[in-house]
Amino acid sequence: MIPCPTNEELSAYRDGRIDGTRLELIQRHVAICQPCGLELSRLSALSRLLASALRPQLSQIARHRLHDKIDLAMERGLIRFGWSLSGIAASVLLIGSALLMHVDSVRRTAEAAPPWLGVAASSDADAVVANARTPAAALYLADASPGSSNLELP
Amino acid sequence: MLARNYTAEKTETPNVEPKGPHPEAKLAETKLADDVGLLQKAAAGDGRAFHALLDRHMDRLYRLAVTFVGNAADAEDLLQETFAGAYKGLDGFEGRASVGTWLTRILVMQTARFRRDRKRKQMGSIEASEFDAPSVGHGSGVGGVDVRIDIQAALLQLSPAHREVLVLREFEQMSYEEIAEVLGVPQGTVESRLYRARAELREKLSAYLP
Repeated sequence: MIPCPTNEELSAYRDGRIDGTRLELIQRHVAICQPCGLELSRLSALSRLLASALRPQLSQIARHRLHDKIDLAMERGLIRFGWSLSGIAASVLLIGSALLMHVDSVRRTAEAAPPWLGVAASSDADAVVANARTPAAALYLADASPGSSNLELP
Repeated sequence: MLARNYTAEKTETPNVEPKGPHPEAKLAETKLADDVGLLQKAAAGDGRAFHALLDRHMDRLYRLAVTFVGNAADAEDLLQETFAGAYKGLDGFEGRASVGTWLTRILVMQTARFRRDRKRKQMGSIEASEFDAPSVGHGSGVGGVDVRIDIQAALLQLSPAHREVLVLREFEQMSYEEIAEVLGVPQGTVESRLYRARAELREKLSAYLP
């Protein structure tokens, strides 16, 4: 005869968790071992006792309340979905409008600008650089004019 | 021998037919066949299918919820959160387990969240915890209401992990595989927890046991 299985193994045996050779060995053992047989009968008694436990029922009112709350949750989900769609649509509209306005303004500027505007702007920029009094500006001007190696810093 | 006889000893959970389901759900239930079918229809946007699914599982889940939290009001809230969570996660159902197991898993997760929230709220409070389990009697009312109350009280005195595994096995007759799926633990853990939970409960209910 095999030594007594542990109570944990007996619990698993009772739940049908043991198989193969081990199952046969335990079956033979518990058939003649009084303490193990007693342990198994105690486990069965506990199961029977638990079977008599209170099994509360959901009242009719509670059932309807639950259905109503789920309906509400579904509606909220739909509303949120609707808001999300509205938000996306509004964003697309806003970005589209801004793009159209930008494209339109660029086109108008290109059409309206006189040919000499760019030249004037360029000479203005040169004048600003020429009048600069900083060492960096002086260096820049010295590099820009060919043959000007004698540099006088202000 | 005893292991094989166990199936015959099992007490079947009474299949309680809803006395007056939601009219829309009843209509849907007659038209639609099984849980997975209902779930697929619900995922496609059929609200009636989801209500039918709710009707099929609410009684079982409610009984579980009461056992988990110990009172009807919290159990109802928990059930609501469970179904709301299931509705949000309809697309997440992979079909690995049954719909019942999937819903039970959501209930267990919602229960854990509920416990955390309750604990956080009580941290700065001097109020007694609603999870302070009532004491178990001394077997004076054997065969009567006292036994049932004492069983509930004893279950509430177990740790959540022990309570869950025991309830899923003894009340729901779930297999170890299903329990492991619901609790997200290995089957070996289910086995050891179940053994310890039974041992603890036997001690608490010793007045009613031989």
